Amino acid sequence: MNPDTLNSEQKPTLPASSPGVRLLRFLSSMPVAIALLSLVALVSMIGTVLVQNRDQDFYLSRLGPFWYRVFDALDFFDMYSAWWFITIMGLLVLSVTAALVRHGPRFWKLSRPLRTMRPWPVKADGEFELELEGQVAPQQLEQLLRRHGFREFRQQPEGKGILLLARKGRLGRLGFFLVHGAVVLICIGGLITSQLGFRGVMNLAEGESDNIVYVQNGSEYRRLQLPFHVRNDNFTINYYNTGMPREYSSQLTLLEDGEAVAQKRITVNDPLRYLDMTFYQASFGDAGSETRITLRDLTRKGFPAQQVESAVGRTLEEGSGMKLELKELRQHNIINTAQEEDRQQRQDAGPSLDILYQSPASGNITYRVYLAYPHMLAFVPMGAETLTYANLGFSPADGRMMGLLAAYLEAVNDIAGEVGPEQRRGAFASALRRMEIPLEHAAELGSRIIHAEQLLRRHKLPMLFTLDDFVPKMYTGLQVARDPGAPLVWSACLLLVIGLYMMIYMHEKRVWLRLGDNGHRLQIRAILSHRDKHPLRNYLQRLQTELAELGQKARS
Amino acid sequence: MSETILPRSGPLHRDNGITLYWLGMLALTLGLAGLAIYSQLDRLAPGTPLINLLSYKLTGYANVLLVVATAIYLAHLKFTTEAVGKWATAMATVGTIGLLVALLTRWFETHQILEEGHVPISNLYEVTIFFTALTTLLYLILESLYRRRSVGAFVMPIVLAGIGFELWLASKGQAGPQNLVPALKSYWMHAHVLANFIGYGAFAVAAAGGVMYLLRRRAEQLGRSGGIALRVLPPSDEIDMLNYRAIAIGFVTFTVATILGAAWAYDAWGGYWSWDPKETWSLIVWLTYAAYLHLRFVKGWAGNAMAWWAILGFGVTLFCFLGVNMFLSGMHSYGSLN
Repeated sequence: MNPDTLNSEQKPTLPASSPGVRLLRFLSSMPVAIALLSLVALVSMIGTVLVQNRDQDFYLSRLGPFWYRVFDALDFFDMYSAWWFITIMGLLVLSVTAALVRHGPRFWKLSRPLRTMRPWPVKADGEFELELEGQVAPQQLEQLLRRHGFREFRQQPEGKGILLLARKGRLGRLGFFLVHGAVVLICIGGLITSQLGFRGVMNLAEGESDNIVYVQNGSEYRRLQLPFHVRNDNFTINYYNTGMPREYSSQLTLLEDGEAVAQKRITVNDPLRYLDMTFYQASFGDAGSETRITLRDLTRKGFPAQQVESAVGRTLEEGSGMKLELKELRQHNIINTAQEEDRQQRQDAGPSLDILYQSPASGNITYRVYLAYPHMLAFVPMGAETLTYANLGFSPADGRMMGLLAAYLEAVNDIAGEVGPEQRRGAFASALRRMEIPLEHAAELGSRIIHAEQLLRRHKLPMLFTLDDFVPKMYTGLQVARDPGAPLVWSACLLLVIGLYMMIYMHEKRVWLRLGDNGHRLQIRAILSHRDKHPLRNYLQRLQTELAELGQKARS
Repeated sequence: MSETILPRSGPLHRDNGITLYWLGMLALTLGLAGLAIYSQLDRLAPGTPLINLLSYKLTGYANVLLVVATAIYLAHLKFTTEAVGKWATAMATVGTIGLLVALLTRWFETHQILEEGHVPISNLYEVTIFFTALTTLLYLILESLYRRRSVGAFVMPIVLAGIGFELWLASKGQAGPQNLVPALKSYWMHAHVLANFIGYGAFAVAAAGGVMYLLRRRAEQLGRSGGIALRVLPPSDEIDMLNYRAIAIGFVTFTVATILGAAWAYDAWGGYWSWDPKETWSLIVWLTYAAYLHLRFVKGWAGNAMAWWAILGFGVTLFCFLGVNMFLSGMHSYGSLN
């Protein structure tokens, strides 16, 4: 049928709305809102599965070149700041704003105090009629409703009877403004934070000061200069007696033109705030601890010892192509010493130094040298990944034993022809003589030397180390942030919670009571702010019972 | 005609029996915890093994009671007498008291056997106990309000799953009290975890309600008047309402929990939101239930679709609670399995 020929009984057509109004209606419509909520939820998942903001190698090695290019083009590696994600979030905010604009005026009016009587509703969410056994006065009805939390009343005579209107939960209507407004404000706060604020890192060795912050931007960093210097007076780690870290803390001083303007010992959950900036304890590391080690070259005659003073992070090189890298100084090493598997008995083995040994002849071996247990050999053999532990039986620093071992191996090497037990005994005797050790210890020393010899032969260790001394030097890793959006976000969060409570627990209810037949007959109609009418139905059921009881009481 | 789920006589209705029940529960919990702690005074040396801890034994006994309670709730579906129901409630109540006493005792024990004690909600094992205790407690509150025991047969299996997970963690050696890592030492933690688990518990109850609703509707559609589902389950309207109420409670507390988490992150990591997987997933949970509330409030959706939404929503919640820690990396890794 042609719309133009519609007869006059048809509803009058609405005036053609402007594109703006149509857009507003579209954006604030429920299907769009639900679609956007779901879309944000779905795309957010991507970034939780794909680790964000790592370097190119990380992704390339995991994804391969094809997917790397696809994901890179889609900004998946830093998706939460990608244009398409921001756009989706923006659309969500727009939709919420549109809902506020569209429904705001109506809800605002509804949240105003009840000034005038509203007429008996044509359409209600719930209704019932009741014959009262006794005569009930309007005041009694009001009293009963007051006990139910109704605070606003209006009444007017209507024919022979009286029409009473009661309302409660007026403020529930404001919950809508608070919740949706808060969501918009939180997003604006987030935008302010990301646009006007920054989050960067600053690594400071003990005693050092600096004013440069490195701010991550995708997988790159940019330098940012602070208007003051930050000095790390010292960094400490407190440990539990099991050796687990208990607290990381840095004593920080902020200097403006060389003058201290702020000072605080910060810990992980207790940052330093100064002006609009905050300094957090985020990480730590070795800033080149000084170490003194002694190396004993087992490949050379007599196992010559050499003491070296260096620092963690440095590499020592020798002409022969041998390289030593001082990798990591640990101040505590927690070892489970429990015999039974399921029990935990932790013990601290004290400080250790990891040394990476590299040579063309022996390949790469990582040693872990314990300060307190020099006789414990710990190393990651070539090609292996975990540490192997072996007890040498004596410290490499034990000159007598090392000398005896060297002399014995030398004597064994000098033997021409077959080496049997007899020859070994002879070699050991000559070694003892060379070291001027009395023969009465021969049996005990002999077994120890044999043990050490077998051990070194089995693991083909080219060198032994001892850690003689160290002076730790740590740097503290600070997170530096300026967050101008935070106050807005926190205020909005408060509004959000209050608003949610209002929306969910303060339903606006309007109940009309038409009292007729000389106070003997009641007609009730009610309107609830929510589409979900269950609570109203239950409530009206209860109200009906109570009103009937009221009628009974009035009769007696 | 079924009885209404609401108290019969006015909004200010007080039932002395219920008041007595809750007061008794509180008194018993505190009294027994006091007794348990008193009996432990001066008896705990640092490093006492887990199996010697009273809290560990108490947790075990309480778990047995909850398992029995689950069985009785299920049996109650068939044998719907009050006597059976009372036993189910009693077992669940004593079991919950047991778990709460165990948690309070463990709180004390951590102060004895570790250098620095902590509220026992700091690792996966402890929060799982907390989750089972809170979910049962939330269910018991609903039961005392609505007097519907059939809900128990659907909520308790979730609790049972929690107990199973807890035992598995214990078998992996993850049950012992551990010192807190520096990041966890914050007052925010207590409020954050508490609010989160009230939320999780409420969503669990809603999911159980969702299953109930679907069963009831199916039975109604099939029209088997004598069917068990029709006989024992509350009218579908009531179950629908229960789902909504549970999600409403859950949504408010979960919102508070997420905000508290953001406040904590702001103090510890220098930003209230970092799109860390746990944060992102809690946003996803929030959006899921926000959509639920919109559909319900504005579109007036109810029934089947909302029941499915509650069930799937709990799936998302479970992933946020456990999946993130187990499968994804991020800053909440201290809650992970190691």
